[in-house]
Amino acid sequence: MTSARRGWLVAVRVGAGVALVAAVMFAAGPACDTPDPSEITEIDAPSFAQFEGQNLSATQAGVSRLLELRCGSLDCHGQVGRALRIYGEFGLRFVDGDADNQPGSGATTPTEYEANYQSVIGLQPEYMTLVYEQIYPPEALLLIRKPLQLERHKGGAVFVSGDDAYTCITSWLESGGDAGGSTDYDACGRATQQ
Amino acid sequence: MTKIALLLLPMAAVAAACDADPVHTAAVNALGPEVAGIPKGEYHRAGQPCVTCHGGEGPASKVFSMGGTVFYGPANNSAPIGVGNATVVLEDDSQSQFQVITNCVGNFYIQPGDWPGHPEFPVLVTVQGQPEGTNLQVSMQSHIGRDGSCADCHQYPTQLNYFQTPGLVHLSPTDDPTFAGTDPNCPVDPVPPGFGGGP
Repeated sequence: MTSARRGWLVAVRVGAGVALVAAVMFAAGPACDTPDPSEITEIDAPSFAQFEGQNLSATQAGVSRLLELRCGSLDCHGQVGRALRIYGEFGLRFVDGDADNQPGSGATTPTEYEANYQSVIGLQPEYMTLVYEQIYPPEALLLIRKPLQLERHKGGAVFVSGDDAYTCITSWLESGGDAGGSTDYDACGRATQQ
Repeated sequence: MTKIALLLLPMAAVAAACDADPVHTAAVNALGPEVAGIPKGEYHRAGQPCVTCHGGEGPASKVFSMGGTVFYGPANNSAPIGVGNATVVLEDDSQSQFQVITNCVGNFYIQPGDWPGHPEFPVLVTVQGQPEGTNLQVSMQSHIGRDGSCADCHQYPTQLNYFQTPGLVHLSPTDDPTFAGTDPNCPVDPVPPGFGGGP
């Protein structure tokens, strides 16, 4: 091999090495980007009052009560590590000042209702907005897809399309937007008795 | 020979480093060793989550689909003590029912062949028993979502876990310090070690 050809090969190898390092740095750059603290995601979400269920009869319930009973057991979504984290009377308790409630004792607290609401609407904030504005159907949300088993759900099928639990949650999700409306508290109440 | 040894050495090191499920291993290790005087078997580790080791991932060879321990009271004012001959009634999502009786330390377990194809979660559970001539019955307020071990949720309450456990599975709402167990011939003390009941 001539010395000129050898020099050419060395130059190619060095160039390839430099290009590889540059490509890795370019790829790693976005991953090391720091979050923009001024950037926020605004959520158009259904009513907190209807989620909590205020001034209801004995046979009615809010959406939170249904989620507490169907989803919030301590071995499922009543765990601090869950993205959809549900607090409540029969499951995980929110450590909240003097309200040192244990699972199974003490009614669900206002702080726990608020935490449940934040968890539900914050799970998929962009999709929640689109569903609330009735651009997407409720089935776009994991909140509905998982319990219907449209996606893998370790807890299995929690409700089926059209039953009281489904009606309870979807009526709440669709209570805003152009159509307006209200949560079907009677369906929620029946679903909590099943 | 040296070359073979050199080849095997890194392979052994890699095999040792490869823990198939470190979460499971950590959960097993967290339960600690066996306690002296209580042999492995139906009476051991009362109040611990049975299915952690008996769930098919080992280290126990016998597989349980569900298992737990029934205690007399909540153990707020006295050491927890297991209740024998209590009936644990389970009803799963397919409305199939199954009953199992606790042994003299309060332990019970269900093997997959005992209730074939079940449980289908969620499961409702009621416990009935007659310790000291009483007739006690208690039902869980919520359902079991998917965990076969009672003790994953039902733990001895402490300052660290009170917000995420309803306490031990117990028949009576109050403790009875005079209750000494349901079987005087029980081969193991029904007051389990740990949980305020000894070392």
